[in-house]
Parts: sequence; structure tokens; C-alpha cells
Amino acid sequence: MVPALLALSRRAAFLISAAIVVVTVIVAVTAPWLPLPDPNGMEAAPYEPPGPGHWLGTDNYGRDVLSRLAWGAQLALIVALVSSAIASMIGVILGSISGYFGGTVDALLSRTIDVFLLIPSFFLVLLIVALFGSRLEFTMLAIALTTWPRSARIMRAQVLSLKSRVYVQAARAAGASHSRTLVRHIIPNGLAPIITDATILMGLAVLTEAGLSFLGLGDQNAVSWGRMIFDGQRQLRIAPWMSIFPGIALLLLVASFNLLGDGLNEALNPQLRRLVARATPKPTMPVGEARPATPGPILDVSNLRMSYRLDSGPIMAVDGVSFRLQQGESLGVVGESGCGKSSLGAAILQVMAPNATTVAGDVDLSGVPILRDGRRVVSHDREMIADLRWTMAAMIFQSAMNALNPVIPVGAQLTEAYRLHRPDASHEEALARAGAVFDLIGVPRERLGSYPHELSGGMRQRVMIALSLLHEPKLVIADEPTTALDVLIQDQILGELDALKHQMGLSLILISHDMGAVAESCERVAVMYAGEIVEMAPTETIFCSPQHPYTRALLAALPTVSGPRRVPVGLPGEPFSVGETTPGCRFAPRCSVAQDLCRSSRPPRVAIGAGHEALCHFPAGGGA
Amino acid sequence: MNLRRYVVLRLLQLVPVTLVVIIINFLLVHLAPGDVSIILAGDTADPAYLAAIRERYGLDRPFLEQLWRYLVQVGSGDLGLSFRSREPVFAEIMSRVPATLLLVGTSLGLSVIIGTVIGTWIARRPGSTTDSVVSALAVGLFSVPVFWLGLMLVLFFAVQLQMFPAMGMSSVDGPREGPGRILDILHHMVLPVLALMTVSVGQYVRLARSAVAEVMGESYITTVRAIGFPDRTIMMHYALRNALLPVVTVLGLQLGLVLTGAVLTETVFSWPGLGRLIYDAILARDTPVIMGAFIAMSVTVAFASLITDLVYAFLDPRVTL
Amino acid sequence: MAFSATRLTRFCLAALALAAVAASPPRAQAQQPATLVVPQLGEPKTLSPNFASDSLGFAPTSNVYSHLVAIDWGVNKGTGAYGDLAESWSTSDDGKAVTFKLHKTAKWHDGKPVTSHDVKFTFDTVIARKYPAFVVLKNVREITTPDDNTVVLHLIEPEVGFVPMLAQVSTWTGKIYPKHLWEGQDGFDKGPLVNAPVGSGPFRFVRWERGGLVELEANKDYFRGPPKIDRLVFRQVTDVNVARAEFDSGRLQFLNYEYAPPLAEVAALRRDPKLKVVFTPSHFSRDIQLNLTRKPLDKLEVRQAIAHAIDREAMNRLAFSGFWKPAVHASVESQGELINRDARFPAFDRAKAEALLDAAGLPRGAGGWRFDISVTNPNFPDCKAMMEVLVQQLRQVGINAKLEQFDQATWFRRQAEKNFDISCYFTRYGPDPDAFREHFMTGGGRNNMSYSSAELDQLATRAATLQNKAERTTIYHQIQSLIVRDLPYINLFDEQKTTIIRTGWSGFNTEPEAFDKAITWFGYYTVTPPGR
Repeated sequence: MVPALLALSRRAAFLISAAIVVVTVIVAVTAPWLPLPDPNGMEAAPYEPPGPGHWLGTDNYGRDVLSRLAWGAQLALIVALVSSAIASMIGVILGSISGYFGGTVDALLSRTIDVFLLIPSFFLVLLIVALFGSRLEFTMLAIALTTWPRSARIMRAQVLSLKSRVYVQAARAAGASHSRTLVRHIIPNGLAPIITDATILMGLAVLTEAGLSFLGLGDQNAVSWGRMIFDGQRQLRIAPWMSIFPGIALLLLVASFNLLGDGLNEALNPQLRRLVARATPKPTMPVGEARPATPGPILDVSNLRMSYRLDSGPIMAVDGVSFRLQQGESLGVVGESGCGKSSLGAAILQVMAPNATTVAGDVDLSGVPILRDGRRVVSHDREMIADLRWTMAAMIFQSAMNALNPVIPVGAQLTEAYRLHRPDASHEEALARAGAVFDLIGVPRERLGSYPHELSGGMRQRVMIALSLLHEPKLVIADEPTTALDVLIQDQILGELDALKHQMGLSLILISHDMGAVAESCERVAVMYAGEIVEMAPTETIFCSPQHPYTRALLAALPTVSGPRRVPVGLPGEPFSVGETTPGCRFAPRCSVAQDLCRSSRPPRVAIGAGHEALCHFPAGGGA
Repeated sequence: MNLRRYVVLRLLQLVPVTLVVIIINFLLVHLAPGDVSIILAGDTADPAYLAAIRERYGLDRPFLEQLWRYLVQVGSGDLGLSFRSREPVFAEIMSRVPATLLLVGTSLGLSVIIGTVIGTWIARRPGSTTDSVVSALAVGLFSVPVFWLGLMLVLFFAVQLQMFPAMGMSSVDGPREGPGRILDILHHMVLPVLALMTVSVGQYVRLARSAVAEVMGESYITTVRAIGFPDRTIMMHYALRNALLPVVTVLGLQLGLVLTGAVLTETVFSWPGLGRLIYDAILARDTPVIMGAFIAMSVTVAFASLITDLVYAFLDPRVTL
Repeated sequence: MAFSATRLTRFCLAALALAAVAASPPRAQAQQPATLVVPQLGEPKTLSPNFASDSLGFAPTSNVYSHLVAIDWGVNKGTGAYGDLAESWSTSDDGKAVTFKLHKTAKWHDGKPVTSHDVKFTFDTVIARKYPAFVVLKNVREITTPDDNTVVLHLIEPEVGFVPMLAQVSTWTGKIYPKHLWEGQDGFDKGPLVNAPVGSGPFRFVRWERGGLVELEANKDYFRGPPKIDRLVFRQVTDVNVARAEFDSGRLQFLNYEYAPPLAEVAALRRDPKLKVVFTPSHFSRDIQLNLTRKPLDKLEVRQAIAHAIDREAMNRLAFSGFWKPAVHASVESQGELINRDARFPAFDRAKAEALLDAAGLPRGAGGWRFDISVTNPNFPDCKAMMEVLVQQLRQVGINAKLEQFDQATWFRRQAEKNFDISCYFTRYGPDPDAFREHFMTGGGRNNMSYSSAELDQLATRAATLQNKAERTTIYHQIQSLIVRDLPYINLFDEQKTTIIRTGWSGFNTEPEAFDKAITWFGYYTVTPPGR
């Protein structure tokens, strides 16, 4: 309900602006047939205020303002459409030629585009209109001639990215001519942003026409809103309605064009749409005194549930996960992508995406309650987790390229993080500490001044690890720390991580899709499927006697001996989408041994041996 | 790449730009009906005087010769004399540049700062009611015709409240030098800057909003959140810095557009800027001034884009010049 | 974040407030020098009025330079011209020599006396270079200076209207330059004085702030006595609405006709004790020129039909809220006896107009239109208002009229090239009725209609040399009859200027009390501030 309302309000602006444009179009098209007086007729008394005879009053010549407004809509739309159409057309043609052929053609056209972008367009319009007469045709042409470089630039970029696409290459290979390839395959696919920009151009054109009218260069025969405003301003004291109504109309139409452009842009650009969704976090839960850390499990997670808010509705990415991790222990969390394993890591440290929220569950970190029933625990207005982040529990994120700030040298990122939790530390101390962790993980100290993009992938990942070790945390959550690295480096880094774990007595949660990686460095393994832990057991047990059919499938997909590790393939069927609901086992549709029971009722959590449990009706392949 | 070499290369690119600007404008002015001789001589002037003016200003020569002479003249660094005031065009332009720079610079600067601050502020909760309302308002602001807004500001602040003057850049009785003069100009600047700023601030609100919102979704922001930085620090120190990149880019590209807005604002507030100079020159067919001003403006925009690129490179270490 | 934003806003507001307080101009006090600020729509082209036609520059320069003879709105009281530098003048019996006696006390702003040599130098240069004032001086054969205070203009042909026309032109151009400062310059557009004028008028040039203002100060040594205002500032106010706002807020003391409020406001303005509304007639009309070389305007019936189609009363009501004077004769009221009151333009009669058009073989066709025609408007506010209504009135009789508007340069050029159908125009009837020659004689300088009538040519040529007033009047009456018969133009209104002036200020050139004293239409010599 609430998300639906929010989604609606998000679209409200788009819908309202679309409605305004549609109404304007209708009014403009039907103006000749509407029961309105002649917009140029001077039959009525001048300066008549809005009333039953003339809803919006009359102007200084006794012309009906409402009627002029309606006819003005026609003009505004003509100006908007014609000038943006011409501009887009020139832009599309020159932009695609420039992008498609490249080389000298591109160099020449790009230069031309650049030059035109440098000429202040309004002055060129002014020059053309002032010199050749204030006729509407000239105005529109002038606007188009000065705005086309915008479209040309956009189109060029589109074509550059499109021409290497497979289907374009295929068309060329099949013998299509250049022009045919351009017209049939490239331009239609690159038009979307041009259309978006054209709506913005339309608003610009209407404003430009109004500006020209203000400078006395508007078309005298045209009923234009700009002219109405300008003429009306002089009569402001006797007939304010003369300028107010066209002013409102102009404002609404231009704003609608702009909002429409925004909306289209958002619709065409999913990255922007994603930003709009945002979950409402649950209220925090205040407690009295913070309890000091007690010995016991370093991490205690119980029935943790986390959901994402998406346009299509909420989905439960972590659905009732419970486990404990002892001091110095290491746990591997494996599963296919989308199973919720990364979300689990983010939920433990409470660093979820903006559209995610923990809806239930308790988390205790080193005996300190940080989450109760999905609500963050607060003591003295301070979230418990805030004091524990990075000092008690740190995280190694996947793809250090993105996880490190690209515009700050890595050393500074480390020292800032160090001094955040040690406000008394001097810069030198922070630097010394950063150097020390660099030493620890084998990054040369001189790289402290480097930016992330100046480091190799492996080096970056080591920096990320160094960052996590800065405050000697007890728990490190490593989320796919070696993805996207080549195999040799992967092994190196995993090895180093393992060594550090022993050296520093770390507890480690290693999140990975790679059974092999987990096997080497973890004592226990939890297999996740569709938000749930379907099987958890000591590493040896998982590998020697996997109970859950999914675990078995994962292991079967693992290459033997020293073959390259790959993402598990060969599993039949699509992974269960966490948005779906089923009365039975979530794995049932893909399970080779599923029976009717599996499809109709939720499987129980079965304890199989010491520290070994599985979520299955028929553990070990229907051994019942 | 060597910074100096880069700057020199970029400056060299100004030559073709200037050339194209000159040719386009020269052609337009030449093709248009009416020339300066009629303006100067009046409508009942003796044909002999019209001819004398055309000869004196070289308007009687073939088009290509006029163009060539002008190019040679500009090449030697001389923008010529105004057809009207008979003073050097360069001096005429320079006498107007400070006013325009003051107006455009101040309003652009304020727009960027205020727009970025507001945009960042609403980006904290994208999709919230505040965000929707402020975003829509921002779009509304740059849809307002600046001349209409200007008059409203005049009626309210200059007539109703009598707080700020509405004409020109200084008062007739005002001090001619010293801090008094500066204060006088500041006082006169308030309304035009407010008008120009209001119509351009929306752009930066939207830009900063989407940039910050996008940056907030980046992994490195998750990292600093996990490290435990407070939200405000993350916003101000990390997100804003990264979000400034697109703002800076657009700033450079938009300078031309803002100069444009300036002619309308200058008209409303009788601001003695470059925009009015061009407008007057166009109406009077004062070719040397039109050309000179167009060159000056294009060069300014080109410089702005160069500075933008340098600033961008400074802000983003990934960019190499 | 929100905190910083608030703090920033607060800071900005504080800074603005500080600037506002510190920069508030000191309130005017009794001892304060009196400054008159004259708003102007744009920038002067130059401050050398003799080489360029430049109405925005003429305003300041008319107050800096003196003229040989001058007129102003006072011409309406029947005075053709009065002396500025000239104390008196006389025309020889053959009408071919005009002798001017100059004021002996006139001095240049640098202290040197003004002599006949300055007049000769100025006019000789104008004639040699064919500067705009040549339009009058072209009839001058030779200029002699018998002594320092006497200058004689020897004419090629006798011309009764010569002195009034010289006065008329002097309003704009042909101002007297100091020989000792300009001698040796290559024309009046070169040298240090072009934009820093030194004249002999009631005000001295102080500065020209580009794009902002031209400042003049009172010339305490002016030969007629110092002006009553101490400073005269021509300030650019490029938006008429802002000028009005500034007038309302008291920062401007008067608004001249370019800034006049809509006439519909006049009734309300007249009730306001803080200001006065002044209407000033002139010797110009507002009319339309018909291009006789264009079809179907070459047909007399069509021109008659157009004349019948025009409802001046309605036009007056719509365009001028009824405050202008419709003109039905080929002259304007200020011309008094010179008006031929029997020669009237065809009266408003739509049915007759339609009948005439039908008879002329121009029946209503598709869409009810008889033919297309364009109505040109030179971008003057009053023309614009009239033409807007005219188009509608023409359309009502089936003439598909369209408006077109050009800036000044283009419009002048198109008029001169006779590239128009119907155009708004401002025909002149004074200061001497010889003006008819310029407008209506074959090849006349403002005969854009291509009107040609041998009868009129002959009458007008003769009238220009006649000294006998009664005889001249008769001829001009005949000329008006011819014009009303042939309809090369259709008179619509007497031109009228509207000025609003703040109470307490007086002596503006549009006010009757200043007629013949203000020195030209741009003169502010007689303006008196409150309390002086």
C-alpha cells in the first residue's frame, strides 16, 4: 500500500505534466472549433475583467484572453515541435554520420559541433531574427539552427556505442550498405535519448520565443503567449489578467516539457529509477545501558529477515537466517548469485542498500545486541552498531575498484578511517598504522599515495583487506573478496587471508559462490538458496556427505582435481526468484528428487549430526 | 600529458572557432537588408552621404574583400572601430565585460553553490515528498521567463519594499570610488542576480540531486558507511565531492546559456553588460561591435570549457588531459 | 546538512541587508544639488550629433551644443522658429540671403567666445561631407562672415521655409561645433571630441558611463543664465515597465512619451495629486502611406474603399483609450489656418467600402477574402497600436491584411526601396507648410508612395517661393484637396505626446509654459525642480 502510493507520487509529476501537454495539444488542435470568439476580434469592451462573458477577461483591444490563450497554445506547440524536430533531425543526421564513419569525417563534424556549442545560441537567434525580420518561420529556424549540436552530440555518442553491437556487426557482415545499416539498425535504436532531449528542447524553444517577444522581436501576426505576457506587463496596473494567465500557461507548459523529459529519461535509464526506491527503516529500539562485550559467540544471528523494496513490490532477500560464529571460527556462505548471501553480510553490519531494510531478527555482535526484531538497538541516542563497525567487525567488499573511492588516494582513505575511530591519533600515527597494515598484506608502502585506478586488481583488493584490518577487528566479513581477479591472484589472496586469520585470531565470514574457495579457508559452510540457509555443516561434512539436493548439485558442478573453478553450471532450471511464493520447498522446481510433499509443504530444518543441519523433507536424496 | 602543451593545444583550437564565428556572423550581417549607413544617415539622407558612409566603412567593397580585410585586421589583433561611436571595439567590449562578468559570475556561482546544497540535501531521501516537491519546484524555476520574474522582483523589492534599486549598476549620486562604490554596486546587483540565479539554480538542484543520489548508491559509499562514518560526513566529504564532477561539467557547458539569459536580465534591469551591447549593435548594424562581441563571447565560453576540463582533471584523478 | 543550508541562507541575507543599509543613497535634502534623471530606452550611438542620426544621442547633445535657430513644441503656438545663438535674422528682398546676428555673450564651455566663424565652419563641413543636416543646407550656395557676430547664408533658390526648416533639423543635427577645437579633424566622426563634446549650451558634458548614463552639469556661464537644475543625467532604462516602477517609487521625476503609461490609466493618474499628465500636440500626424505601385492599391477605388473602411473613433478607443484626436483633414490641428477644412478624407462607411471593392473587380473570394495585403509597422508603440486595429478593420471588409514589423534600419530601407503595401507613417506639416513638397511631390524625400501629380508639383514649387501669406495658404488648401482626392496617404490622428511629471517639477519641454524656451524638443534648460 505505502510503496504503491509512493510509486504513484513519484509518477504524479510525470502524469500531471503529460496531462498538461495532452490538454495543450487538444486545445491547440481544436482551437478553431471551440466556441471561442475570434482571438483577433476587437468586438468586446477593452479591459473587461474575468467574468461570465469572458472567463479570463479581455485585453486592451477588447480581445478575448481565453481565446487568445487557446490559439497561443497552437503557436507554442508549433514553435516547440517544429524547432525541436528540425534540430533533432539535423542532430541525428550529422551525429550518426560522425559517429558511424569516424575518422576524418568524425573529426571534422565533431569540431563543427564544438564550434556551434561555443556560440551563445540566443544571440545567434537574436541576430537572425533581428536581421531578417521577426517572422515565426525565422524564429523557429533560428532556434533549430542553434540547438542542433546538442542532439548531434547525443546521437554521436549513441552511435559510437551501438555500432559495435552484435546485431549491427551481423547486418554489416550480411552485406547491408552503410546507409542501410545506419537507417535500419543504428538510428532507430539510438533515438531514445534524442526524444528525451527533444522534450527539453521544446521547453527551451517556447522560452526562447517568449524572450524574443520581450525584446520586441516576436511575430506580429502570431498570437503568442510570450507576446501576451510582454504586452500585458504594460497593462499590469489596469488589467493584470492580461499577463498573468499567459504567464501561468507558459510556465506550466515549459515545466511540463521539462518534467516529461525527466520522466522519460528515468524510464529509459533504469539506473536512475533504482535510486528512487527507498525503504522506510524500522524504528530503532532504545535500551538502557549498553552491555559490555562478553565472551561467548562473536556473532549470534537469529531468524534474520531482510527485504528489498522494488517497483514490483517487496522481496525477501534474507528469509529467516540463524547461525552462530565462535571466536576465531570461520564460516563460508555459498550459493548462486541472487541467493541473498551478500545481503546477509550487509544486514549483519547494517549497511544495506537504501531500498533494503531488516524486517525481523536479532543480531548480537560479541555479546552486544545490535538488532532486535529487525530494529537497530540504540543506547543513549547512539546506535550500538555504530561503535562496533570496523573496530569489532569489518568488511571486505567485492570488487575493490568500486569499493574504494576513486578520487581519494588509498592512503588517505586508510588514515581517514583510522582517525575516525581514534580521534586523538595524529596524522603521523594514522599514516604509520596504514603503513603497518600495508606491510601485513604485502602492499608496498609507496602505494599509499596512489589512487585506486593506478593499482592492479590484486593490489586494490589487498588495499581493501588492509583497510578492513585497520582497527584489528575480531570479525571480518569478506564478500566475494576475489571475484574478478585472475586465478593465480585469487589463490594468493585467499592464502594470505587464511594466514592473517590464524595470525590475528580473526573470525571470518567468507561469502562466495565458489565452493572451492570456501573449502580451503573455512571450517564451516552454510549453503544459501533463495534467502534461506538450506544446509550448514563443517566443511568436511559438506563435502563428504552433503544432505541437501542443492548442495549436492553445487558440488557436482565443481570441477574435479585442479581444473579451473567456475560458477556452478549445469543446474537445471531457473534459480528460485526470491519474490515468488510457494507453499512448498523453494528448491523443489529444480530438484531432481522432489516429490509431491516437496511442492506442497515447507520442509523442516533437520538436524543430521553435530553441527550439521539441512532444510529438506528428504535429506540425502529421500533417504526416508 | 604535459599540462602546458595541453593548454596551448586547446588555445590553438580557438583559431578555427573564431574563424567560423566570424564567417557565420559576417555572412548573416551581409545578407540582411539594411546597413549602418541608413541608421547613421537617417531616412531622408542625401544619397551622397549614404555612399560616403559606405565608402568610409568599406561597405562598398565586394563581400569577400570585406571579409578578408576583416580577417587580416583581426589577425593583427585589431577589432576595429565601432560604426557608431567611432571608438575602438575592444575598448567598448572591455567597458561592458566587467558588468556582465559580475552579473553572470555572481549568479552562476550562487546558483551552483545553492543548487548543489539543495540538491544534495534532497538526495538524502530520494523519492520522499520533500524530494518530489523540491525537484518539481526546481523544474518550475527554470521554466520561468526571466523577464517576467524580473519585473515581479522589481515590483516587490523596488516598489513595494523600496529595498533595492532596479535600474543600472550604480546610483547617479553614488560614490565613484572606494568601498562606497563597491557597496553601491552590490546594492544594485541584488535584484538582477536574484533573477538570473533563480532561473538557473533549478538546473543545479536537479543535477546535484541525481549525481549525489547516484554516488550514494556506489560501493565506495557502502564502504565508508561500513567503516562507520556518520551520514553527514559521508554526504559532505565523500558524496558531494564525487557528485561535483557532473556539476562542473555542466557549469562549463552552460556558461553560454547563462550569458544568454543575461541579455534579458540586462534589459529588465538596464544592466550595462555585454548582452545589451550586442543587442544595440545588432539593431544598429554595427558590424565591428557585433563581430567583436561574438568573438569575445565565444572565446569566453571556450576558456570556460578549458577551465572546466582542468578543474575536472584536478577533481578526478582518473581523468588524464 | 540542513544546518549548513540554513546558515548559508542566513549569511547571505545578512550580507544583502548590510549592503542594502550601507548603500542606501542619502535622502534628498534642501541643500542637495537638484538632479534631473531622464530615462532613455537605449544607449546613444555617439555624442557627435552632426554625423549620425541618433535620437538617443540627440537628447544629451541638444543640451550641450547650441544651435543657430531652434524650435520646440512651441511651434504649435504659431512660431516657426526662434533664435538660439542667433539673436535675430532677416531675409533679403530677393529671398536669397539670410543674415543672422549672433548673441555676443555666448561662450564655449572652454571659455572662448562663440563667433560667426564657428557657424560657417560647422555648416561648411556639413555641406562638404553631406552630413544629415545637408537635407536643409543643400540650398546654401555660400556662407560669409562679415564680422564675428554676423553670418550670412546665401541661398541658391529663394526658400520661404528655410529658417523654420533649419530650426526643425537643428533639433536633431546641424548643431554648432567649436571651430578652434574641431579644425583639422577628418570629419565630425574623428578625434577626441566625438564622445566628449564641448559645446556652448546650458549644460556641460561630464561623463559617459557606457551602457549606463550620460551625465551633464549646469553651465553657470550660459549666456541666457544658468539652468535651474544642477545636474542632468540621461540614464538608460531599457524596460518601460521598470521605468514605470521607478517612477512610482519616486526615483524618476518624470516619464517622457516613450515610457508613457497606457492611456487607459490616464483617468486614474489624473486623480493622483502626486503627478500631472501632460498631452502635447505636434506638427506631425499618424497616418498610413499607400504604395501606389502595388496592385491593387494603384486603383483609386481601392484606396477610397480602404479610407471608408477605417473607423477612427473605434481605433482611438482601442488604441488610445479615446485620448487622441482623429484627423480627417490632410493636416493637423496645430497648423491652424493652413488646414483646408473642406478637404476631408472619406468617412467611415463599411458598406460603401465593400461596394467600392466589388466595383473595382475585387469580390470576396475563398474564405471571404478579396485580396492579401501587408501592413507594415516601424516598431513605434503608437503605430503598433494603430496598425493592430487597422488590420482588423481591413479584414472586416474582406481585405486579408497581415501585420509585419521591422526594426528601424530594415524599415527605413524597405520604405526607401518602396518595398511595402501599407505602412504606418508620420507625415510632417510644419514648421513650414513647405513640408508638403518633401512628402507629396514627385520624387520627394519622404514620398515613399510614389505619388506623382503634375498639378501638385507645380503648386508646391510655387508656394515655396511665395512671401505673401494669404496666397500661400490658398495654394496649400488646393494641395490638400488634391491629396484627399488622390489618397496617396490616409491621415488618421494628430500626433500627441504623453508625459507624466511628478508634482513640484515644472518647465518640461512638453509643457506650454516652456514652449519656445526649452531649446529644442530635447531641451531641459527650463526644467525647474521643486522649491526653486
